[in-house]
Amino acid sequence: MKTALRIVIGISVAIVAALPLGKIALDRGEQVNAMWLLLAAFCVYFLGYRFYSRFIAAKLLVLDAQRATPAERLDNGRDFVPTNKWVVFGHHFAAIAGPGPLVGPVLAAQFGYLPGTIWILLGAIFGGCVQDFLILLFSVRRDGKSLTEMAREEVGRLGGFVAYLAIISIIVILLAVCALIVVNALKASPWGVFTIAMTVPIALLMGFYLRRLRPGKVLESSALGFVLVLLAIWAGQVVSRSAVVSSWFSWSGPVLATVIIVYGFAASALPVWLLLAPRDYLSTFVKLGTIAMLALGIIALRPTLHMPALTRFVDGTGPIFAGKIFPFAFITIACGAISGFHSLISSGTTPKMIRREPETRMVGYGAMIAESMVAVMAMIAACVLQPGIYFAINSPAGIVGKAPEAAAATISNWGFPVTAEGMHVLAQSVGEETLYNRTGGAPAFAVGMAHIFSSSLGGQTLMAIWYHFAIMFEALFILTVLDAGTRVGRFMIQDALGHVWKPLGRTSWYPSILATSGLIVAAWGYFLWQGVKDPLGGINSLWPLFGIANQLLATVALCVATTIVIKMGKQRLVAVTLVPLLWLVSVTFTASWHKIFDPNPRVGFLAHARQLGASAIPSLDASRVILNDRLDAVVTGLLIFLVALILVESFLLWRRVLSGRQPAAVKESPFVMTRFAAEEQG
Amino acid sequence: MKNQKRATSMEDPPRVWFPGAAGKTHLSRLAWLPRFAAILASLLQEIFDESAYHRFLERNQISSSTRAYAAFREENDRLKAQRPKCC
Repeated sequence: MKTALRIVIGISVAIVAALPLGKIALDRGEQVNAMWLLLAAFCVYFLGYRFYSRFIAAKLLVLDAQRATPAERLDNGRDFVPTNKWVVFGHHFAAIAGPGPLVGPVLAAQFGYLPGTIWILLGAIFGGCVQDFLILLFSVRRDGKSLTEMAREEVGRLGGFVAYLAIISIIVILLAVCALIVVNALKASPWGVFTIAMTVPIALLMGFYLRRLRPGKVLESSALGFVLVLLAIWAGQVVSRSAVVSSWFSWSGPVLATVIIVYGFAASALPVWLLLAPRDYLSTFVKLGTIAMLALGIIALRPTLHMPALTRFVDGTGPIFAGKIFPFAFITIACGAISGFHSLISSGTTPKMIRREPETRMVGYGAMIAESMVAVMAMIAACVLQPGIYFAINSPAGIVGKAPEAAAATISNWGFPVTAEGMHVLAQSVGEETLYNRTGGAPAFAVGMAHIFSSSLGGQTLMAIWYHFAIMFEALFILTVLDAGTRVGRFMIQDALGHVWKPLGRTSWYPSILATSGLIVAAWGYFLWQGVKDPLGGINSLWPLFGIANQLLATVALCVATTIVIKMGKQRLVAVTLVPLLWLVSVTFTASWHKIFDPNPRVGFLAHARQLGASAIPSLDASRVILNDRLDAVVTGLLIFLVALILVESFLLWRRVLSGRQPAAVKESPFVMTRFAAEEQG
Repeated sequence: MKNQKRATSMEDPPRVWFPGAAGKTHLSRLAWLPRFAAILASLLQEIFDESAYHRFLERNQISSSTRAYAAFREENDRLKAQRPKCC
């Protein structure tokens, strides 16, 4: 009876899901309400969680409630702590939710809302959620080991090495692209720069409150910090209206990039915890609150999507980034659909907090669904804008021209009407001089979010405040990703160099700290500088590179997962990991091929270098761009080569195991009976 | 220490969950609220390291003070510095 009821509920939800999916996919020439998107997403997530994740948990992984987790066996009250599943869920979600699911969908909206939305939903259900769930469970069964350690033990030494290099590469490119987003959002924006600058004294005050006045009361101090940040946003408006004071905070892209590079180095090399720790808390506080507010705002406003389902740019001529839907839509949206970076979190802190094995399903699969939902909301925020406005904000000057009239005319000629006057009014309403050429996705997302918030609360009078709130929110948590990432990168380099010369591996030896901090900052700083100086806005070359690196890390994670599945003797169900793996291989390898060899100079790095080299008047700028293009091509080629190596190594291992030439033995921790089961029964 | 029940997030509140699950009166329909609030509080305390600080105090058998918090920060920050934040 129960089974019949489940089947009836499942079929009903499937029918309900088919309606909004059909609506968003088939409506042409009509504007669609965002609620259809949300409804479709809810139904797809429900079906995915209720049936697919349950199938994986029961048939593939055979989750064992009797088996003690490392959190229980190795409980030390520090990093191994058995924790309530809802708390782990929230903790894991807070760790995986970064700027990626907000920025990627905004950029991919240049194809229209449909391709990105379908990829977000299907990519998450069959790819991202599966990856996070499986890597989490496999790490739980291996005492919370990291992805690199699992790759080394289960695939081979080469696998571990490739995973290590992939992680370092993705960290470098991620940090560069994150920094570039902040630069593009804050350049020539005294209001934005002032607000972010004010978070420094606010964080110091929070640090003082935490250490001296109320030790350990982080929530209190974060709430206090949040109120002060709101005041800073309000004060930013006053600053932007004063000609003298606003000139102090009106910085160009290169100046902002320099400041961010110095900040990254200081955050990694100097003991500035009094600033960084409270700012990290403040950023998390703002991030979680804003995501919740955005969800409520969309539900309250039920906005209409002005972006068509598909735009003319599906042919690969998009102004934001060049390249056709396949493969570029699938690497532009990584977080929100499938992100290799999540496998680091799923094999980092989270497995050490899981109390019972079956909870990995809710935490791993469920938190990724929540992240995917954030990506859908970002897509909505971008698509509620008039397409002309969306393209005016996101298109680089190199494509649409610097003069407002020229840019508006170019964009209108594409079939997306916009006027220079309209853009000027919009810029004034959000308290900016101009909104043209604000590439990177963050300003477009902020305008969309401000539109949703101001329509629900405060009207046009609060539009500027909401816009700067959104910019502050994005910049603040991107900067915490930046300082945390630089430190993690520094630790990884120290760890590797320690094998060459022991003192270099000592995390407390200052010469080593300075040298390795300098190395990691120089690496991402170089790419950042390249992006800032790029006439095409930098995003055109850096975001696809980031997407490729991130998806390649997911390829490594799925390789490890597939290997373990085969070794577990579950070959019959290997499609669960093999299908997303093959999809990612086809996407990343095709994208890399295009980025290196495509004859279109807007797509291929080498073609672009050739085009510049052939120009009549060679300049210093042109030679620098040529060098950068070639470097980008080499980096992409190297990443692909490394991942090809792990694929070959994995394939050979699978063949040996399947043909019986190698025993199918997984390297799990021995079974220990949990005491929680007995406690619950007693 | 390991087997002691700690005043942290590992404690599970009673298993009454969603509206209507506990019975039919108006009051009992709201029985899920305290549990929801408790979990939300635990979640925030975990994310913002307040639970970690309490565990630190228990582990070292000391009470909260500026010196204890400084020691906790030193230990905790070293752990946190090695954790990546996702993109």
